Amino acid sequence: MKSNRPIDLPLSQVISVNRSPIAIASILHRISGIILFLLIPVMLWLLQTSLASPESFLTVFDNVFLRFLAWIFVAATAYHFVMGVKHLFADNGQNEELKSARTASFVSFVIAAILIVASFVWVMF
Amino acid sequence: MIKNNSGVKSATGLTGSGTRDWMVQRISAIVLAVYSIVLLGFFLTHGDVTFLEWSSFMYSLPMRLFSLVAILALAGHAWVGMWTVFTDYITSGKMGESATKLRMVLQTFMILAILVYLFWGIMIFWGNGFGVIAV
Repeated sequence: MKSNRPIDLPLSQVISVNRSPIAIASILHRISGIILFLLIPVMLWLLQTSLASPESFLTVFDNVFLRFLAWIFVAATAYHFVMGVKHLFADNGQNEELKSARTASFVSFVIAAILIVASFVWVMF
Repeated sequence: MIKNNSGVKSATGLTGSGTRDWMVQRISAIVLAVYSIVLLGFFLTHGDVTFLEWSSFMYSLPMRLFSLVAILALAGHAWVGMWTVFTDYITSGKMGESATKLRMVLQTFMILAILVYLFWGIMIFWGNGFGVIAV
């Protein structure tokens, strides 16, 4: 089978050509995953410190900067979670057509946005 | 496109089988999803959480076991996920011949980091005198 489809386009070109919500949902799923991976050591340190003693617990929960870092992690988790669920539905053959996939992406964006905003209020205040 | 006839599908994937990596990604995703919901539930039911509530919850036997499973799931999930990202974007087709070397270096660091996180995470929940560190 010979295909003339271009392969190995640079990512910037792929993004500039494909601006559908499906593609954006997908690339942000990956970016949120990378952010989560990079924040694992921060969260392990926060977890360990919060569990070490009542004093160190307070240094974590009373520190605005650390709370902000924790929110970044929570927000990325929320997005990654919602898009992951969308992915599992797709594995099951659901929302894989152009129209249904667009709708699913849009609905996922709305749910993720609500969770991200709510978690900001919740973690920071 | 060069066809891979070497018999080795990928040296740096988690299980050496695409199907198995795929399964690991899904199963670990579900474990991590349930773990996140449990933690969310704890925080939603403990408005102004105290150290005692937090530590007795996290160091209860069910949570220590669940946390161990979640850390293992996280290690597998992160490995397959980062492998997917590296092998999709850091390729010789996109970046030239140096890409393979760069990808191997990045993947080596990724795997080392995951091993460190794995043992660190286990240490927090199962270490001797767990959690005792100076701040």
